[in-house]
Amino acid sequence: MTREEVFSIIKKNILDNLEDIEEDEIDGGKSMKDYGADSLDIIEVVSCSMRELKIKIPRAELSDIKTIDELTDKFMEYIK
Amino acid sequence: MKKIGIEKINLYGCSLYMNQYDLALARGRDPERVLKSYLIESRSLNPPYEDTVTMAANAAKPVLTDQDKRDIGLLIVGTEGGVDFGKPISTNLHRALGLPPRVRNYETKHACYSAVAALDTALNWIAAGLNRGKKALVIATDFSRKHFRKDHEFVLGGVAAAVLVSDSPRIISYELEKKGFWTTDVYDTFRPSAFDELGNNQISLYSYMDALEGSYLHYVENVGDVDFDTYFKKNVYHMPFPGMSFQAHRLLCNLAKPRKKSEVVASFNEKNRPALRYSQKVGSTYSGSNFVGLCGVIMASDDLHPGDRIGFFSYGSGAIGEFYSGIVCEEARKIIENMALDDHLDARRKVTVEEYEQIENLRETYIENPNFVSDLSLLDNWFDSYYKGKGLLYLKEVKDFRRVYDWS
Repeated sequence: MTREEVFSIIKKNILDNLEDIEEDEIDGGKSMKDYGADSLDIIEVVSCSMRELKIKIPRAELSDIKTIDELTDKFMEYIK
Repeated sequence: MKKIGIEKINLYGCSLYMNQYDLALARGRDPERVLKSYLIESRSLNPPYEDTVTMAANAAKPVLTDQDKRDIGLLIVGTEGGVDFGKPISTNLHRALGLPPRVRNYETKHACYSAVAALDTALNWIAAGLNRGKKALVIATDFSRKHFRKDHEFVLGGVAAAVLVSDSPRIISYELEKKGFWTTDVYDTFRPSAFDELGNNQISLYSYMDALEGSYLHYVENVGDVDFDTYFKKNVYHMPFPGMSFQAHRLLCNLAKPRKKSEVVASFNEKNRPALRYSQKVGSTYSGSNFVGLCGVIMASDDLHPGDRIGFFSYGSGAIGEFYSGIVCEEARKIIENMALDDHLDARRKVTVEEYEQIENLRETYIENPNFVSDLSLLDNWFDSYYKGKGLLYLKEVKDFRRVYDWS
């Protein structure tokens, strides 16, 4: 799976879980919090994305991640 | 295996409350969003003349008859709000409740898991037959510290729960052989001093979800063929705030079988939402969480019958997750109904955000203060109207660090 595909799965889950946001607006360099996500929203996006990608990462490992790009990179480590 | 579980139960949700709507407005947050995300209405609050000892006593006293007191052989109190680093509050409670000397007592600590750890010890003590016919009193008691203008100010609260554990359960009997655990070392929420209650929301929520998934999978491995949707009639999850319960149910639903959010919501409403009945009023439930959820699910579920199985998840920051289960007893609803929990919570006095801030500021001056006399006059002499003559325990004074309690 390519990085682009992983990024688009995360993006889809952000769109599914957050309100008032367009796909084109999502910038990988930003945090989900920049788009109005609260802690619960972020957990849901992460859980849904991991399920879809069929990967299991201890969630505590994700707590220092700030941006959507960093999350994508972390997921890529487990996909490889 | 003989039945062992809870014979009696009671909750004490403090004598004051604050509406979360008011707090959200005062903090410049969207109240509707706060209420919807956290699924909360209000939080309980103690006047400064109450602490974890008084809350515990006020939860336990109404359920104990003189015969119960003679029958108790073990007293364990779970808290993360002990008032002394050495002397356990179980000793203060032993005196306050008038228990006999031949009682083993101690305090347990593991953040919000402390009372489930205590419950487990009590159940095993009885299951092993080492109780010699005696019963165990397990009490969970916790309340929040001061967190003005922090992100987690909306998920604070306080409650105590007292349960009498015996081999004559009338509320729930636990399936002792069915359990799952998950442990890790993490700083998610912690109390490094008598003043601080620190934490990181995101780390804590991630850790909670890891612990839930890990302990549930361990439970399934130990129990065998478990169909999540049919094996448990209801589910009770640890509630740092009630909204977390939805996230927890969502995780297990999707772990069992990925499904649409609307299906998760339908399952949540049927199997878990009733458990939120009291936590929505008291706020964060800390170590009493599973007991608060148990009372809620029994009182608010018309389709829950004797013999039905409830799945429980307890989480303690630091961290541990434990998944376990129990079977509802014949008289469960009648007994909890008699405790009139709704009336108790409805009798609390509403405080404004300003009053809440005054109370917390005053409480802070009492912490690690070797000498003070509790101010009973605050909130227009609330002590006189709510406590006086009602037989509730309160902190009268502290002399050379020795805490003096009295019944009102």
